[in-house]
Amino acid sequence: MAQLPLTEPVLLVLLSLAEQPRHGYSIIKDVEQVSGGRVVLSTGTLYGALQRLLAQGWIEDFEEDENSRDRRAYRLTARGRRNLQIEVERMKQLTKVASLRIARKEA
Amino acid sequence: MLYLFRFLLRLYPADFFREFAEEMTLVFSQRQRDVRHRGLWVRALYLAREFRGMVTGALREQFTDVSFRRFDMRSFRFPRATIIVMLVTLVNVGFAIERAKRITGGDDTRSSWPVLPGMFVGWLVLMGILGLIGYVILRALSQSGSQRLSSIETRPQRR
Repeated sequence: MAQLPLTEPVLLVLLSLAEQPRHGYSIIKDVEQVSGGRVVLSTGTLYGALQRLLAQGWIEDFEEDENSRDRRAYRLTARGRRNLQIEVERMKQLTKVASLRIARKEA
Repeated sequence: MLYLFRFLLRLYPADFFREFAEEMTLVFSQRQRDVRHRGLWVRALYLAREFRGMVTGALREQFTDVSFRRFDMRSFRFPRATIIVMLVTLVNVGFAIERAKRITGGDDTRSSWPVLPGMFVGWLVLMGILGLIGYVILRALSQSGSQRLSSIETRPQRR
């Protein structure tokens, strides 16, 4: 189940799909790029996350080419986008508090 | 490598396999092409990451599948892939015990490997007995009709 707070792979998959619909391979490449090469998803990890997000209704799949399953792509649903926004707000809040505390300690 | 990847896909639950196996194989092939001309170290790291992801992913999906599926004894089939997963887990437990012994450096230098199969069978028997006891209790409760107690009206309804 994809519950808040999200694990890093799930968060990065959602961020990747927030920009545009993508195929599995494209998600892996984008996640690697977004994380500066720090996170490289394995195929098993990616499809485990996609399966849970599909089951939760956070993403949906669609066929780009009617005749082939190879061109199945994924996109965020309204629910997924809303939950991603909640998670980003939570992280912003946490980062703000962390910055303040670190600055206070240094002063 | 593709052959091994396809074999590992069989460790996933049947529903997951039907849904994603073809697509996962395609993605794996595409990524394999990406690292084909990279150094040996990069390729080894890629394959290690992929296969670790496959095994841990399969274990997680099998666990989720067993946890959330409606359990029906009449349709229950012991999946062959589970035997492989259990054996992999057993070998991992063996290595963990051996490693822990080396770290603690105790006097007991005997290997744990000979006793592991016995332990494994013992646990299976114990789980079987516990399952049987649970089944007998549920069956007895079902026969007694106690599940209907909740629907008994304790006071007459007003008309």
